[in-house]
Amino acid sequence: MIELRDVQKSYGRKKVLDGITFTANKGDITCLVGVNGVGKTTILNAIMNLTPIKKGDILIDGEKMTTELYNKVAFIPDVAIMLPGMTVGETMDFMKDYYDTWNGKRAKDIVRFFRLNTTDKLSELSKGNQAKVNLLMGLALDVDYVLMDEPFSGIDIFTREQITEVFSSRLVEDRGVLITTHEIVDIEHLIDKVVLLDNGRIYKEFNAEEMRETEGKSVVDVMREVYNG
Amino acid sequence: MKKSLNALLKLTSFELDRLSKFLFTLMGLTLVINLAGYIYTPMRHMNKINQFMTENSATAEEALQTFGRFSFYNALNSFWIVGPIVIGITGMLFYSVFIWYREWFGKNTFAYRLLMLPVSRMTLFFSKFIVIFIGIFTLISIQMVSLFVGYPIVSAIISDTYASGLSLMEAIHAHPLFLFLFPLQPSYFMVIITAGAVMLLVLFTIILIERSFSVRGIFIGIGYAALSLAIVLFPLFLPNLLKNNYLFYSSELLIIELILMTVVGICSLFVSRYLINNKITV
Repeated sequence: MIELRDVQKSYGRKKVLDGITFTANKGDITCLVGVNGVGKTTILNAIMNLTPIKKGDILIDGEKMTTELYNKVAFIPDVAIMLPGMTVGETMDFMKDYYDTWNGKRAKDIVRFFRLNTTDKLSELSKGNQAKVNLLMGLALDVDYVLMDEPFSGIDIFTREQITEVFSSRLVEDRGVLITTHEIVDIEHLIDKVVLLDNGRIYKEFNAEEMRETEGKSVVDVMREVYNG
Repeated sequence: MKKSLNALLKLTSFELDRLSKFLFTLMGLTLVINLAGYIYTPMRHMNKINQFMTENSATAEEALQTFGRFSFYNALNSFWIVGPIVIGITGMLFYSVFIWYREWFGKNTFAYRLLMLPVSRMTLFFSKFIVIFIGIFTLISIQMVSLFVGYPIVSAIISDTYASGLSLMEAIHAHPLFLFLFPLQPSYFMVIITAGAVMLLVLFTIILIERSFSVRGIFIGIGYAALSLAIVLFPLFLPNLLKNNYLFYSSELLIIELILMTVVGICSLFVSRYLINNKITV
């Protein structure tokens, strides 16, 4: 379980995260939603110890994040994070060199699934294929948790459909997925838990299916209520 | 331990690969410019002498009185030899800063990947540190090779009549810059190596301070650099401050400096470790 307890962070005088407390369970898809600048990416960065927090605790299965835990949690950011001069194949070799949890067979499956070419240079890839390489690097690791930051950002509808397929595939099966996205409609039916953020705080936390069944509202309906007043 | 060492070797080799193009360029520049200098400077001297003798119907003796004898030191002291050294020092200084900032400001944000590797983050720090040292020693080695190649070239161009007879070692000893690059006394060598390592550690620490605290970090970094410099230079100014020039023997001063530099180096390592583990941001 990924657990955040009263996490606070400021940039100068501006509070970006103000007492964030929630959990993301293994086997669930938890979605962080909110408008731009609400602190979604900061939360993921903070979980991965890529930005310091002012106060609070972040625990992965009860342990504080250490470098060893990068073999347990994978982060897929929405920016290209490998050297542009590398090929897709070299990227895979790099990952294999450093991660004990790199699953070569699964990596090959993902390359096939996304129809990537291992000899292509990252600098020559489209934004959509760059996103696929990021997914490849995260999903080919045998980790318990996968964090995804805006995996659909700026990519075409066909690539989006392909990435959406990932969520219902064996690639995320049994793992805990914590995702931030604006394109909630694409994956709404797959989400277990929604954490709605507003002004650095948790506005609402709910089970997507229960919300549909009990109140007849979709995640987007709830978002409209919150952000449109 | 074995896993950490393995990761350090892999990361160092990876960083070395990234440095290679830049380093080969510096090495090539050094060799080409040096060789040009070893040919051009003695030839220019000989041309001047020949021209003087032809225009003034002068003897070799008279030409020597006007231009003096040419030694290897004259070649070393030219722009052709000193220039590449300055380029090398500037280049490696630039690379010492670039080696960190490229991870954040390149086309892709490689800092994400590096900071998420399941190895101690200090391994990243040390791999970058080692690579800079490898670069510096490689350039010094190339300079040394160039000296051994250049000496016979200069000797072949300058005829015995106009040569000073200064040996290669004598020429190196006479030049302060080369004495700095190739220190002959072990104690002097120790001081230069320690000073270089500590300077690099302080520079890396300043970069990490800036990467951790952004604009505020620039000022903290400048303060850290000033404090480090003040600590290391303090014993040199102490005799003046106390108006006692016989305060330390030079051997004592050397030991004090070594100790203070080591203290600054260790502090920089601790500060860097804290920052890279707890404060750095992508």
